[in-house]
Amino acid sequence: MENISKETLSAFVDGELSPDEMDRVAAHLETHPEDHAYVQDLILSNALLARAFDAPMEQPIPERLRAVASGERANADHAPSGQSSVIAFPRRFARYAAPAGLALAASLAAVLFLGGRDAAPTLSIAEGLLVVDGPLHAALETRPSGAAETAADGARFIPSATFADAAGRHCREVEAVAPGAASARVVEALIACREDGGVWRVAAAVAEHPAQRQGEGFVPASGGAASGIGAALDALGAGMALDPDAEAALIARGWN
Amino acid sequence: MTDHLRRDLIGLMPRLRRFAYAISGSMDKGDDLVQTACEKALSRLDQFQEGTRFDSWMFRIIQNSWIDETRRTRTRGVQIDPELAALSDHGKGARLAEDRMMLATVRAAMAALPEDQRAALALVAIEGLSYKEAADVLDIPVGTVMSRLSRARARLAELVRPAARGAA
Repeated sequence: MENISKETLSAFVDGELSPDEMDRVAAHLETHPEDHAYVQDLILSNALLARAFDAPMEQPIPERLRAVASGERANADHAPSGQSSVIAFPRRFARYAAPAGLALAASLAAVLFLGGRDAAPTLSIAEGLLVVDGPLHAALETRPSGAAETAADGARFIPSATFADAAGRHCREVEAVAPGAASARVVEALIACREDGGVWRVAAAVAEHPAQRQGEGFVPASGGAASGIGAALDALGAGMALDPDAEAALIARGWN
Repeated sequence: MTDHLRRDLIGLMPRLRRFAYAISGSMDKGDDLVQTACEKALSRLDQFQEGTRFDSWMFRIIQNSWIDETRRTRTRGVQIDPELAALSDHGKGARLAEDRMMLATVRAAMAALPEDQRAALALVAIEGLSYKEAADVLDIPVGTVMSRLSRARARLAELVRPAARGAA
């Protein structure tokens, strides 16, 4: 097959190619492990880049900057307005797996999920996704089972169980609730397992639409071969869920 | 008429600070840069075209202020205090040592990039602008954004890969 330039691979990661080209590159990656690895390196560096400089996103605006913007004298004796500042998320990254929603992908499926340009108002958490930061990461890393982590837009992530898989990794089951009108709610259940460096890899994700809920329980998120959370737990060789004390101790130790 | 722009400016502030941090390599320098840019912007609000992106306009003023500054001080590139970069993650939840090291590596790698590549990368990879939007901010053709990004990323990936693989 033909060579694909690094420039094109970089544009692929940004979702800046035409739909046809996106498909062409995706097909190429399946048969070119080196290029696939390069794309993954790019995605990893993107995610790290976002985290490396995101400190200002989480801090209050320094008073001198607020004063300049609001037209006050920098050292005027003026009480803070008290209104919290709106954080404008870049639209392309307005998802949930990273600080500004930047999702870090590991599998080709997840790369493709990243490639799309428009942010759908549903939760799109693909199998193989690496979660390095953001509300989902915070839920996985710090929330005891039953406690919700709420994203800026109202999406909620609620861990429901913690267990070890056959390989001895710590894994958690999480329920994700999309923001928005209750009638249009999409609930997604996912299992993520913790890897080195505080990275969580999504091992399974299934969506549950209210209309399809009766009887059948969860249905696969994207027409894949997945057959629900139960099957995913079996595939992982999941052990018994930890009791709350053991879970709390793990969280307190930073999962070590 | 400028009231809503002032409000927008406050709302944009976290992103403006992040962008300035990414291109200048330091939070303090970045905040100075944002302050200068805000003053400039507010003194020529009449030049802002309603209906165009206010954030892009501000990014452009920040980037131009930074270029002015580096020319004036003849700094080539960004100096990151390696110790500071290694130690400080500004309270962010990077608990693990290797995690912090990796982020420090990324900051150092970013600082080592040529100015024009760094700006393109910050706009697209961190701020999420499209190539077209980044091209407008930097006043260069889209193709140039594409090639700068690609070169910046190739270098970044080279530096990040050993750290990433090492931690895995």
